[in-house]
Amino acid sequence: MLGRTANDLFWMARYMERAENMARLLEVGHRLSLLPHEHGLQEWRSTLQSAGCEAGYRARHAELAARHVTDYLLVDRDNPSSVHSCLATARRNARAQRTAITREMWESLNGAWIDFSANAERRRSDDELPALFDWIRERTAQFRGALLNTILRNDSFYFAQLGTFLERADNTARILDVRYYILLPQNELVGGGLDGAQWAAILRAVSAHRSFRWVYRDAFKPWHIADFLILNPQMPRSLRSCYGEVVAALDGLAATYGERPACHAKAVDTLSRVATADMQEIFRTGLHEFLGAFIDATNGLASDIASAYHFDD
Amino acid sequence: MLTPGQYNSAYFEHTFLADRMGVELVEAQDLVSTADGVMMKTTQGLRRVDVVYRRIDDAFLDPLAFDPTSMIGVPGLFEHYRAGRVTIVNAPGTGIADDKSIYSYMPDIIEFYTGRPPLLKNVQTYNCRKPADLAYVLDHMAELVVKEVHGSGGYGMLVGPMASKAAIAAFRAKVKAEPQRYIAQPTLALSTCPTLTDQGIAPRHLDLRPYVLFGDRMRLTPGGLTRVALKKGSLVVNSSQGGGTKDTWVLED
Repeated sequence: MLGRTANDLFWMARYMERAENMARLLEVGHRLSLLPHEHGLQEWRSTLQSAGCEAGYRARHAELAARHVTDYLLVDRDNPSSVHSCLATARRNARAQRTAITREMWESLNGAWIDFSANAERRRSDDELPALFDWIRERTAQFRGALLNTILRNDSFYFAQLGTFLERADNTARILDVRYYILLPQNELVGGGLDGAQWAAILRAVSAHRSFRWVYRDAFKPWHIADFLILNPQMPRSLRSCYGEVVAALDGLAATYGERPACHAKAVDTLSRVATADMQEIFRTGLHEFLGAFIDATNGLASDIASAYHFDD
Repeated sequence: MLTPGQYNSAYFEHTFLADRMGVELVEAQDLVSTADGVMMKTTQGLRRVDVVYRRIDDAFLDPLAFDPTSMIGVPGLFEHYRAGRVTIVNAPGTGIADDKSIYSYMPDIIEFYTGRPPLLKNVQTYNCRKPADLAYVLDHMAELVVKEVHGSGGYGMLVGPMASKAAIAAFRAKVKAEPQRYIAQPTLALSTCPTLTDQGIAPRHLDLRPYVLFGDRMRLTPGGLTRVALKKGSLVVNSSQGGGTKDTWVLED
């Protein structure tokens, strides 16, 4: 396979995952902004931070305003991580690899891009935003389904999986890191109404608002939320699950190519860290420090994989 | 298969051909010239390339050999080609066959190589670089089809019988200024074929392009490309000007 093909498949999947995460973050921001409290703008700031877009936003807009944040994360083509940019980049990557992806994948992605380009501009009134967020999640889910149902389980699939799960791991870690202080055990005692809304927001941002209750059968406890999103192997967006998929994809590549580059060991290292850690230990050494190290390791792994498979230039 | 990339108007055909041939569709950035030859950058390192089916023009093939500003060529490709380390299809220089004035020499070329006169006659072709031909063309422009030798896609041509006086005068000035850039032929009565139009079934002009494969022997492919002019009365069948295609049936071999 061409290095460029691996690169395009990796980023196609990565940008589609990012588009979906962006829609979910925006939905949570929108929901919190409707609550009657004085920290409304602070919530939008957290949304920007979770999206990794705060610096870009500051360079473009002088003040923090709901409308500007939504625009910047949804339709601004100068923001490479806006939903519109994600769809456009994913489509460009897919188009360059028409011979490596299935018709179902191409049509799903191309259709999403065409519809979004045609409709997003006029569907940005406050009333219509929730429906637009839902639409983005439906279309990205449809693409993911087309990929899983039609792509051959060979190196194409493994590079796409790596893009998806490295992006997802990064996203979950960021969401946690931006609000880590409300998850600290000492907060459990002081947690008021606003904290409750924030805890719910974290879970909604990873589509786990209901599944959390199935697992913990309890009111929100910050300790459990952190456990669910970091260590729980059942939760499909937990750091543990994402790394399980990353390592599985690397195993697939090792089997396909008959060799195991050094970066595989780093992935296994991070997996075993989240597979064997317990929350007590993580809180003791510092949740923020733990998440920072995790985000750095994930970024490092992504670039190591690109070098190992010759798609880093 | 070397493509200029997804912004080329024929990119879809490039992906289709690469897919059907089962070969990698590469862009210039995927190839690199090393001491051993032309290499392809794969997920498992560099892999030797023996044949490049290129879909880019000669001038852009290699910025070191031709147009130095080319971003879609592979630096060093031509040197390996000259040393026989890589085959380029179509070979550099074959584009000369696209020069329409070559056609006027076809009977001579056939006789030179086979020692016999051609079995199929040429369409009468006036090569405007010859003074006698030029004089005839200038006198009879309203009856002729005049074409730029480097034109393609139905552009840069005049269909005399359908052109206005002003268009003919303008074309005459261009031919006079640079006669070597033009050829002319009598306006042919193209066949027509029943075609579905907005007003129902109506006759439309068409032509047939046969394809000949030349390897160990000469083979005519079964079928061909039938192009149809969808505009009423038009003789321009080119797809870039709204022409269409029709299924081609070979009833007897």
